[in-house]
Amino acid sequence: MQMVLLEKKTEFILEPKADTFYLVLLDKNAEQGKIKVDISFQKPGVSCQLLFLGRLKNNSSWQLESNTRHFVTGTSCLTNVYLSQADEARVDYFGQIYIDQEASQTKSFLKEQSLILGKATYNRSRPILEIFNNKVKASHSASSSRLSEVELFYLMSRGFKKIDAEKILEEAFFNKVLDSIKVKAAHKLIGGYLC
Amino acid sequence: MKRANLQKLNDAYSDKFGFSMPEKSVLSFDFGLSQKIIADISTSKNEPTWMREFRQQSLQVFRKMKLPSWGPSLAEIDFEKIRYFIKNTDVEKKTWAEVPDEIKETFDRLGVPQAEKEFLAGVKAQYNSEVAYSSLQAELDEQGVIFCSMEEALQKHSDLFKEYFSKLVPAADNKFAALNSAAWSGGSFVYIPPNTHVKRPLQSYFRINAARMGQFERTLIIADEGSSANYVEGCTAPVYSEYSLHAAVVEVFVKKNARFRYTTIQNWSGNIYNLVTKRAKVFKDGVMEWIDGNLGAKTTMKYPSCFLVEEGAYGEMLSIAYAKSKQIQDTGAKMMHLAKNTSSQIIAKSVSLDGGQSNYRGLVYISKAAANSKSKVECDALILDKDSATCTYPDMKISGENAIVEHEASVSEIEEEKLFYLMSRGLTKTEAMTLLVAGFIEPIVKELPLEYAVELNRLIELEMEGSVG
Repeated sequence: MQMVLLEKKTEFILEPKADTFYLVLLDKNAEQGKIKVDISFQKPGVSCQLLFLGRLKNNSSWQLESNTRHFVTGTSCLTNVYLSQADEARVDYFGQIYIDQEASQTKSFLKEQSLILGKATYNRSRPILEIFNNKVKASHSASSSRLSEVELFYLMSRGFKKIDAEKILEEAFFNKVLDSIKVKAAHKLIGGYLC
Repeated sequence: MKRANLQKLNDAYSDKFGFSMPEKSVLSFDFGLSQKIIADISTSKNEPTWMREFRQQSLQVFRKMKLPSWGPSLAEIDFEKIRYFIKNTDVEKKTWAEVPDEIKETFDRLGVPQAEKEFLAGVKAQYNSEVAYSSLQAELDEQGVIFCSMEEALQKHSDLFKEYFSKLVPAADNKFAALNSAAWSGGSFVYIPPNTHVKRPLQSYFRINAARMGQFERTLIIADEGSSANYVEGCTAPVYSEYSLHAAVVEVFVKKNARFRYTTIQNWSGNIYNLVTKRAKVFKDGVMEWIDGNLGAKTTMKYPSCFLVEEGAYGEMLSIAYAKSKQIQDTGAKMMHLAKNTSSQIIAKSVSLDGGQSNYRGLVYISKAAANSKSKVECDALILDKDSATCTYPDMKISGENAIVEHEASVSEIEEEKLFYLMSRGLTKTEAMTLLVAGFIEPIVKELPLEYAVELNRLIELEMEGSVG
C-alpha cells in the first residue's frame, strides 16, 4: 500500500487507482483550520485508509470533513479520526460514507475518537451513513471521552506526577492507531508529529 | 409455518386492518384551513377565550413557517385538501353501550374492548378527531389519576391544563406543531399525582377513517414527583387511495424522581404522512423512556426528545423502524443534556425491504452546564434486498466537562450462514428470514406489553410473506 501525505491544501478530491494510505496531520500551531477530503471509488477492488490525526490545544478551531463514496464493486475504506483536545480546542467533524446501488461487496468503516484533555473544549461530530446496497458491510463509531480516572490513579500511585501520567495516557491513545497502521513510512511521520 | 397458514394469517390481517367503515359524521367541516374553520372548531368545543386566541395565533405561525428543508419530501401535501375536523359522536360516550354500532364494530375488529376488559386500566379510543369512547377505571379515580380527553381536561381541569399546555412544544417549534396547535382535536390528558404508581398501562387507540382527513390529536402528560406510569398508544388505519395527514403533538413532564414510559406502535396505512412532535422534560432524577415502533405510513418523521433539565435526569429511546415498499421511515431521537450528571441512551433498529428506506436522524447535545454527563447511541440497520436503502444522520454536540459520548452504527444484510443453518433445519427461506428479523428486533420487542409484542411479531410475519424468496 502506498502512502500519500495530504498537506498544504484545504481540499482534496481523490480518485484512487491503487491501494493507498492517506494521512492528514493537523497543524499543532494553527489557530484554526479547515480540511476536506473526498475519496471517490471508481475502480473496482481498490482499498484505502484515511487517517486524520491531531493534537489540538489552546483555542484552536478545526473544521474537518471526509466523504467516502463507493460507486463500484469490491472496494473498501477505513477512515480513522484520532484527536486530542486540550485547553479550549474546538472541532467540528463531518464524515460521510456513501455506498451506491451498484457498489456491492463494499466494506467501509469510520471511527472517530476524541480524547478530551481541556475543560472548555467543544466537539461536534456528524458521522453519516448512506447505504443503497444490501451486499455491503458498513459502520461508523464516534466517541468522546476524558482520560480514565482509574488509569490516571494507577500511574500516579506508581509515582508519576499528574501531568506526566496524562502525557503517558495521551501517548497510549495515539499508539492504538499507530499499531493498526502497516505502512512504515507513516509510522515515521506520525512519530515525528507526536513528539 | 406452512405457506397455507401464512396465507390465512394474511387474509385475517386484510380483514382486520385493511377495511374502512362508511363515514357517518355528526359534524364536519369543509376542506382547507381558515380563521373561520379554526373559530368553528373552538365554538364546537366551547373553548375559553385564551384557547381560541392560541389557535388563531398558531394559524398565523403555521402560515409563516416553511416545510422542513431536510428529510423526506413533503411537497405532495396540499393543506387545502385536508379536512381539519370530523366529530363522529356529538357527545363523548361514557359507557360502551352508548357507543354507535359502526364505531363499536371498528373497535371490535381492532380488539379494543377485549384489551380493555382483560388488560387495561383505561381506554381512550379515538375514532377520527375526537374521543368516541372513554372509560375510567375506578382504581384510577381512587388514586387521583386524571386520564381523560384533552377537551374534558380543558373544561374540568383548566388551571392544570393551562399551566402545562404548549409549554414544551410551542406553536413556533415547527410547521406541523403550529398546524396541530391551530387545529388540534382529541388526544389524552394524563395527570399522575405525587408518589402514585399506576400499575397497569394507560392505553389509547387512534384511528383515521376519512380520506384527506388530518388527525391532529394532542397529548399532555404530567407525572408528578415520585410517580410512575406507562402509557401505550397503538395506531392502525384503513387503506385509502388518497393521502391523509397525521400531525400529533405529545408533551410529557416528568417531575423529580418520577418515571414515565411512553410506548407507541404506529401502523398507519401506506398513504398517510405521519409527522409527529414528541417531547419530554425530565426533572431531577426523573426517568423518561420512549419506546417507538414504526411500521406503517407512507412517510414518517418522528424524533421523540428528552430535555434533561435537572441533575440526575435520564432519557431513553428504544425504536424500531420497518420500511417496506414506497415507505420512508425517517425516525430518531434527541437527547438534550442541560444539567450535570444526566445520562441518556438511544437504541435504534431498522429493517428495510422491498424498496423501503429507513433513516435514523438523531441529536445528542451536551451543554456546558452538563458536566459528567453520559450518552450512548446504537443504530443497527438490516437491508434485506438490493432495492432498499438505509441512512443514518447522527449529530453530537459536546461542550460539557467530563462528558462521555459514544455512538455506533452498523449496516448489514442477513448473514448467509444463519440463513443456511435455519433452512437446513427445515424452514423455508421466508420463515428463516422472518425468524432472523424477529431476533434482530427482539431487544426492543421484549420491552413492549405482551399484547403489543404479539401483534408486532405477527405484523412482521405478515409483511415478510411474499417479500422474499
